[in-house]
Amino acid sequence: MEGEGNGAPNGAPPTALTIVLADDDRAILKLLEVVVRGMGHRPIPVTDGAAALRAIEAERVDMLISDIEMPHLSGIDLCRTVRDRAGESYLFTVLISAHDQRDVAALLDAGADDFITKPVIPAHLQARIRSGQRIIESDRRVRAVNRQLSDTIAEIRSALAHAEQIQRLMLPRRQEGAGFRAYHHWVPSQQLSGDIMAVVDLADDAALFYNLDVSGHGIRAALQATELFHILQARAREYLARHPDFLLPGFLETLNTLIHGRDGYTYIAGTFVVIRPRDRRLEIAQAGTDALHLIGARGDVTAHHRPGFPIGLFGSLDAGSTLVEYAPGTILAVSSDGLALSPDMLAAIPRWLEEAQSGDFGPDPIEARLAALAGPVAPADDLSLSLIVLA
Amino acid sequence: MIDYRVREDGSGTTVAVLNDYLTQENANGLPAAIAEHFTPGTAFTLDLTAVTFIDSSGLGAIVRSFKDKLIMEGITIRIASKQVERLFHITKLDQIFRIEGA
Repeated sequence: MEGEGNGAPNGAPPTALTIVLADDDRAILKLLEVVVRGMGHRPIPVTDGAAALRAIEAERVDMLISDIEMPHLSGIDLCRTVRDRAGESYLFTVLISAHDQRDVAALLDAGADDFITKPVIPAHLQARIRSGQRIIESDRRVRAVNRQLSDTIAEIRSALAHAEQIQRLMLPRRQEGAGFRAYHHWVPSQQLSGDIMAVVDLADDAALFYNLDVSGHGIRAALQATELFHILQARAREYLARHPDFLLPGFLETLNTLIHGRDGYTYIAGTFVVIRPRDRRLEIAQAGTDALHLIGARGDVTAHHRPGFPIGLFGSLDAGSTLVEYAPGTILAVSSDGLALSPDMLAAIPRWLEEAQSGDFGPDPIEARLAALAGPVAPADDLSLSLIVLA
Repeated sequence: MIDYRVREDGSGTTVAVLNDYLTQENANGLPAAIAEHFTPGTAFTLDLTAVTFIDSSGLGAIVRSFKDKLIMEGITIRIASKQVERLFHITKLDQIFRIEGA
C-alpha cells in the first residue's frame, strides 16, 4: 500500500520527493530511511542538524523530517534556520519529538508544519509524508501559475509599451496651416486609453481638428485609435468631395454610422472643430465631452459646452454644431476627458506655448507639466491637450 | 467582479444597486447582471448613488444593458457623484434616462 493516496490530484502520477532525514539515533534514522524509500521517495539521511542544513542548501529538498534533540544544531533551531532562509519552493518540515505533545507549541512556533512522537510508527510517518506531499504539490501548482501570470503580465506590459511607441510615432506633435499653428501633447495612461488628435486639411484653407478618446483601455483601444486615425483622414476627404461645404453634423453622422454596432463596445467621445481662417470662424461639435476653451489675446477665457451623444453609442447621433467667430491670436485649447483644465492652467497656457516654441523639438515642456499633474505613476486615463493658435 | 444587489422597492419597481465604481475592470459583467433581473416594460431603477466613478467602458456597459433608446426612456437612474452626474450630462444620457439625484 506504500505510496497510495499520496495527494496527487486527479489521478496524476505521484512525484518522488527529496526528503532530508536527520536523527543522531542510527536505528531510528534507518527506520525513517526504509519508510521513505518504500514510499518511492529519495531519502538523504544525516546524523546531526548542521549536516541537515548543508544538505538542504546543497540541492532542492522538498521535505525535512528531523529529530528535535541532536548535536550541533537542534531540530527546533534547524527548523527556524530553514524558515528564515525561505527558498524558491516550500520546505515541508516534520519534527520528531521524544515527548508526548508537551512541546507542540514550541515546534509549531519554530516553523514546523507537523510533528510525530517517538516511538515512530511507520503508518503514522507515512500519513504525515502523504499530507506533506499534498501541500508541496499544491505549493508547486500555485508557484507555476504565479510564474505564468508574471510572464503574461510582462508580455502585456511589453506589448503596451510597443503600442504606445507606435501611437506616439503616429500622432502629430506640431502642425501648421494657412491660418493656424497646432501643438498636440499626449501623456498615455498606464494601459493606453486611445486618445488621438490631429488637424486634417480641407478645401479653401479650412481644416478639421479633432481630439478624440476611443472607449476602453489597453491594446484594443490603442489599435482602434490607430485605425480611426487613418479612417478619419480618408473619411474627411471623401465627405468633403461629396459635400464641399463640409458641415460637421453631416460628417459626424457618417462617422456614427461607421462606428455604431461595429463590435457592440466601441464608441468615441471627443471634440471636432472646423477652422475657417478666411472667415475667422470655427464650427464646433462636442460628442460626449466638454473640454473646449477659447483663450483670447488678452487672456480672456471662454468655455464651450454643448452636450452631445458620443459617436457610435446610438444608431442616430442627432448631432449639432455651434459657429463661433474668433479674433487673431486666439488660442483654441481642447483637452481629453482625463484632463480637467483649471482656471490657473488656462491662464498659464499662453506662457506654456511661448516656452514650448522656444524649445524646438526637444522634450516637450507641456507634456512634462501634464505628466507632473498625474504624479509619480502614469495617469489612469490618457491626458491629451491640443493648443491651436489661430492667426 | 461587479458589486451589486437587487431588491424590490414595495411598489413593484426592481432596484439594482451598484457599489464603488464601474470601469473596464468590472463593466462587462453589468449587462448580464441586469438581464437577470430586468424585463423590458417593467419598472426598473439603476441606483448609482454609491458609485463614485464611471469610465468610458462603464458608460458603454450601461447603454448596452438596455440596448434600445425606447427602453432606456423607461429606466430611472439614481446618481449622487458629481463625476457621474457630469458624465451623464455631457453625453446627453440625462436626456434619455430618467435621472434622479440622491
